[in-house]
Amino acid sequence: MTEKVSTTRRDLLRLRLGLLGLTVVVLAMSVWSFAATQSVLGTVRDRTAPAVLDVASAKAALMQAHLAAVNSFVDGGATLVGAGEEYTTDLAVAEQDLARAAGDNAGGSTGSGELQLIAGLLTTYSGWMSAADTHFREGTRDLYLTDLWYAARSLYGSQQTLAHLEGLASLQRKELDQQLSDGWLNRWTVLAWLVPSILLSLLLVYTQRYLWRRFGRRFNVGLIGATALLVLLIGATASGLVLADRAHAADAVLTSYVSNTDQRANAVSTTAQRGLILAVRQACSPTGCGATLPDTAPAAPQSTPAATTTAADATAGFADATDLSWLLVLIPVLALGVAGLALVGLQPRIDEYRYRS
Amino acid sequence: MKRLLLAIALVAGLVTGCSARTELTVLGPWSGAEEQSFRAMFAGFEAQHDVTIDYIGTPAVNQVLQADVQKGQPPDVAVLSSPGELARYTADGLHKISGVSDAEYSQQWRTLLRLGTPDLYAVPVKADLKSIVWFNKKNPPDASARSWPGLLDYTVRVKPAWCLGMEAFSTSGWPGTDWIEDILLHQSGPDVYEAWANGALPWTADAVRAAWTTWGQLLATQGTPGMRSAALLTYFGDAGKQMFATPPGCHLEHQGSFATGSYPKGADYDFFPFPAIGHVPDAWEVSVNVAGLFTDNPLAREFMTYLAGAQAQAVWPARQDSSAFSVNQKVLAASVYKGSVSPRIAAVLASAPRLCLDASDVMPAAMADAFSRAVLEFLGDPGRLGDILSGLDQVRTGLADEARLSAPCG
Repeated sequence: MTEKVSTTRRDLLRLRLGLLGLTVVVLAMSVWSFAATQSVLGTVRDRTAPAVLDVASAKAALMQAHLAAVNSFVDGGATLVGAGEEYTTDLAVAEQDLARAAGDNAGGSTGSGELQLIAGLLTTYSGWMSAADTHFREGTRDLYLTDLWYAARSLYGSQQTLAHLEGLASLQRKELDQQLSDGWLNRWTVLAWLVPSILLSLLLVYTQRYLWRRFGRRFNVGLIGATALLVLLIGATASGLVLADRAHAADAVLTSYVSNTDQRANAVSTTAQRGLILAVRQACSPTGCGATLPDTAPAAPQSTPAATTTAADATAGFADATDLSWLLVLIPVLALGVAGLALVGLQPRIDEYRYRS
Repeated sequence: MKRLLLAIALVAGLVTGCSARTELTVLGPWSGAEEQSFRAMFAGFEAQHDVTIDYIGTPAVNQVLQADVQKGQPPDVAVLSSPGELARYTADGLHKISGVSDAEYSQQWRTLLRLGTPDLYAVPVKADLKSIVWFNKKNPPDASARSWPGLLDYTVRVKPAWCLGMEAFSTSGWPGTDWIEDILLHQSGPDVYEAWANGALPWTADAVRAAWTTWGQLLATQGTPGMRSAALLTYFGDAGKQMFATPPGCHLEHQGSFATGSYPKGADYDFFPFPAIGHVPDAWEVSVNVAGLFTDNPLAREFMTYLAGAQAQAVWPARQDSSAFSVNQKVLAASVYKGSVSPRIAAVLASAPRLCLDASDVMPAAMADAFSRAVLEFLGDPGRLGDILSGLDQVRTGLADEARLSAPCG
């Protein structure tokens, strides 16, 4: 003979199990979602965005170094200072930027390979500049201009320094775009924690109504408290979306800054190439310039619009996108509160039916 | 329970089967389209052995290999552009190999692939024939130009005769080193060439000086004003294209068999052998990419055998618009090469009685770099030849202790 179990007690036990089970799911998904968002945004702030800035800065510094060197040789200042102090400083800045980019490298093994390759190509570039200095001091005009041309070719030639720098910049950019749009920063992943949270709120409302119908008590303070904490928990977890929006805003600032930096670097590059090609062509025109040197120098670049954003703005924006990390402590506390208050609300009714069958 | 155990075993088998696919690491110099061609060479091996080949392509292959070997983490196989660089590892790091069939490789190649040792250490991946002069078939030189005096005469009559381009990014100057090497080989013979390439003969020796002055005379004969500065400023890949311009910017190009890769599409070209300058035995200068085995992995050993075989060797030369050549004689016999030019180049590479490796590929890297720079200095001021050769000899004596390939001719 089997014992007949009270349906009310069975319902109450099921409701308790459902509430606790769903709370555990909400806790897990909320913490996972918020922590993962924080982690990605932390990586963006500490590594990916700085890597994008480093590579843009390296290109700009390299172009400045090249222009300074060309000017020094073409204007004759090289007699005393070779490629010049500005060249040395800017080249060192470019190398430091690349060293930082290597530390921050977000491009994986391909990015590391590119960085190694660029370091080797910069050694080639500075080697030709040193040779130009030596030949300039020796007074062998043909050779120092040839060395300068070779240095420029090691920058601009097919598969040479600038091509690899642009490849690296594109890799870093792609990684940043991916981090800001994939994984937990994808808008659809909000469903992973929002759906269980909505189910939990519905179950809390259903339980409240059940108790009202079954026991005639309109309000259960415990369940109302649990519902209120759940609303807070949803709000805390949803702040991850606010952080993602801040990151996207910072990304727009970064994109604008990098684009402007790139435009200015290209203008500096055109000025340097123009000066070099005019000088080399002037020296070789009476005799022969070969098949590679362009027939005409590029036109002087138009002025570049002033930057409307700075690297500091972008960096501050990405820092803002991670300044709510304390919520990672609050979310589990709120979830535990939801579970505790749900138990407080249900347990007395379950106890009433403990000895009934 | 039995079903459960069976399911667990099945899942475990799947998991381990997925995650434990064997890998071989191969380091090489190629990226882009060349990497695709090389990958096509070993695709069959991957399928046959259910193995993944992790290929890492970098232009800095020598430096990467050196660092990996020093760290004790070499790749299973490395492909280098310089047999001399590979020979550095015969004493420590490189493993002997077998599987290069006598029936598929000439005695000359089997000698060269021993890297100056009694044992076989290298497998050729692809090769280039140097010692050739290219011309546009629409403006062919007369038959007399195929002798050295005839070539000098042609240089006097046809202006400008030679397409010259010395610029090659970090290795600018090497097209000039090919000139010096070819002149030395065809003026003083393979024995002198071998002694010079392996560092036994000083740069200041008469034979070496004669090679430089002979090149200088040829350039002086060309006589075009500014020819030297034009040569210095021209990228080597742009030089030969001028043969096909209207009117032609030049008529002859001394360049390896890879030169056709930079000629305009549809260009009609041909070549003749670099002529003998002295009474010396017939010999050809060649360059080759060689693979060496750096671990004792049995699968890597099988890979080397596969790479040497006709099936793999035929892949790269057979690709569309390829200017790559194999030295495998079965590939030559299999009619892989089309047209009238490629089969002749392939025949020389696979069967010529005397072959000498490009001396720059045999010398230590520092010597080869100095050689390239010396060519630029010589073009800038040929009057400084004495200083240039003395400087090169100082580099040679400073590198006397460097391991190098002792037998560059086979």
